[in-house]
Amino acid sequence: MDALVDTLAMEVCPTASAADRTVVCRYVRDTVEVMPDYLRLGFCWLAVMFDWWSLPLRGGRFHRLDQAQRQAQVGAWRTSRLGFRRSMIAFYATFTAFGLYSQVQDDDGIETDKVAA
Amino acid sequence: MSRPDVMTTSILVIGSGPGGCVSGTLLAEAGHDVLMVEEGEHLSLDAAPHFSREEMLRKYRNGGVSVALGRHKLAWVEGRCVGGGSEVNRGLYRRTPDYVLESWRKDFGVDNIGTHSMKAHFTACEEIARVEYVPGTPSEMSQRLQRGAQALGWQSTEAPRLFSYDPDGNGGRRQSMSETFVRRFLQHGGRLHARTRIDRLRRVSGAWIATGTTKDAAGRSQPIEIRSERVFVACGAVQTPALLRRSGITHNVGNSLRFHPMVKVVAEFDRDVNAAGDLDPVHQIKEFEPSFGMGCSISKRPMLGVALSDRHGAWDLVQERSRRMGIYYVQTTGGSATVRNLPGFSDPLVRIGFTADDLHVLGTGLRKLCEGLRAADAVRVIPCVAGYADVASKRGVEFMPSSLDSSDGSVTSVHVFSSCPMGENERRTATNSFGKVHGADGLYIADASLLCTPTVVNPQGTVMGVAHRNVLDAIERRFG
Ligand SMILES: Cc1cc2nc3c(=O)[nH]c(=O)nc-3n(C[C@H](O)[C@H](O)[C@H](O)COP(=O)(O)OP(=O)(O)OC[C@H]3O[C@@H](n4cnc5c(N)ncnc54)[C@H](O)[C@@H]3O)c2cc1C
Repeated sequence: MDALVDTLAMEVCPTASAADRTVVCRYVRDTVEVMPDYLRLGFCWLAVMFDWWSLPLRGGRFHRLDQAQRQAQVGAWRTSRLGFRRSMIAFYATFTAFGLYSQVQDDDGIETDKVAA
Repeated sequence: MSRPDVMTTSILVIGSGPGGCVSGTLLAEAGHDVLMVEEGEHLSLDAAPHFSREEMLRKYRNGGVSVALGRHKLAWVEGRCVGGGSEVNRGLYRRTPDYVLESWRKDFGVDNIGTHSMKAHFTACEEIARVEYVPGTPSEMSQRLQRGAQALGWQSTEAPRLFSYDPDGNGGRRQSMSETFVRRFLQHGGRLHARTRIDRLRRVSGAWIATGTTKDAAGRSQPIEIRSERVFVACGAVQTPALLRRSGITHNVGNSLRFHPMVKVVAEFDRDVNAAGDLDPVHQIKEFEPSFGMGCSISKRPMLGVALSDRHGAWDLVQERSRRMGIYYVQTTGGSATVRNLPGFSDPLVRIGFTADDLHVLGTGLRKLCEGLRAADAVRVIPCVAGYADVASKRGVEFMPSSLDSSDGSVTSVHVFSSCPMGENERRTATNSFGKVHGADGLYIADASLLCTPTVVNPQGTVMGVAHRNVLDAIERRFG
């Protein structure tokens, strides 16, 4: 899951630092931890499926792929005909964007680093 | 599992949102022994910056992730802390419109409800949680919406807020429950237990036994059992039916949950409208109520980032032009949902359906919002709906679909209600006209679940007013 959030964060802002991306990963992880339990279960299955999906196609699990291959897989799921794949990417994209903008572009700067996430 | 902590009280209030707090305070003021329990933490308003990640994790239910599923989807958020939604909301305040109360009387058989009879209850709540208008001029982003409405001859209004503004108009303090009613509740001897969740209610030998868990500051759980003569359930419109259904109380419970479904747009102007430190925008367009209403959303950079997250180059756009951008919404009353518990899970499943007409109203509302913002001199309006083109001309509005497809997650809501409607029409309602659950002694509902239909306007005033009305009735009748 961290690899997916990291990829999405790079997509949102290619210049985001590794430290900022790590904070965002932690924020998204914390959110997933407290999301409704039946959704969390579904999301955990999806995360496993997402990670293994690239094995037959690209020869490695998602978290081991390079950035370009990761982006290709995210793109494929984002435009998939299967609604659950699109929903999964939309969910992570929303929370990654919120986390990253809060981290780097907050209006008054007061929130930066506030979340030990 | 360790043996439960056993407690006794005369009246148990479950949930400390506006409904629970108003009820608990009046009961404590009337001299009753009241224990109010709240699943979330007791945090000050300043414990997390408003609309921050930290606030989402600490004060929102499920970290801000709640999704109603079905062929169509709707994402909503609720508070989960002492004060409930009032701690995280903007406190925009409107009293219940006359026509809404009239429909409750007519369609649900609610006795003795109307603008006149509710007036004293609204006034009493407004004296404790103060309701004020911006002392000077509202923010530019807010005025833009008003100007658009005026240019088109549409009726608009400046909504007051549950907010105590500094006289110089530069800031102030939100009038959340923790700042107002909770303090009063404690002053009058009420007991408050935060981090305490009730899972089930059962009736034993003429008393109610509430069982659940309480957590210490380190998050360690301990089972609890609370014995009380009377229970006021005020867990909010989703958790109240979930708790009642887990407890075997199901008559018209959780069958009619309603929302104010909302779609947003980002409007870009040719000059600055959105400066850091601006007061929250307050204008609303009333012209099309009760079909749909329009207003301004919080437009800090993280919100703009999320709103534009589908757009290529959003990061630079927000970086360069966030001051010229504002987020606006249109909200309707369509869609109806059910609340059900799933075996083995503690969070309830919400399933929603929209009719073709509901989606048409959302589509029409979205077009009108774009039209209004163009009339306010927005250089372009960007609908936050996948696949929708920017609107930069009058023709752009004409090309927008007349109906919204809500399957893509673009529909959200911050208002939930109506899951256990009140009234004398037992075929449609879960409680009598004053929140007493049909066929259950000493059991009351005291939150947004009771509102028979959407309020069309911001609902917290109605939740508080109705709770005030109902609890005074219960006290007067000596709970008979
Ligand atoms: C982001 C946001 C913005 C909003 N903006 C506005 C606005 O500007 N104006 C307006 O009028 N309204 C607004 N609202 C709506 C308003 O906050 C709600 O209508 C109002 O809070 C509903 O009150 P309630 O008492 O029904 O429930 P809630 O406020 O939801 O309170 C219920 C409480 O019960 C607790 N609880 C739930 N289950 C249990 C359990 N089993 N055991 C113990 N405790 C439990 C919850 O944790 C919660 O704290 C907004 C809401 C949100 C979330």
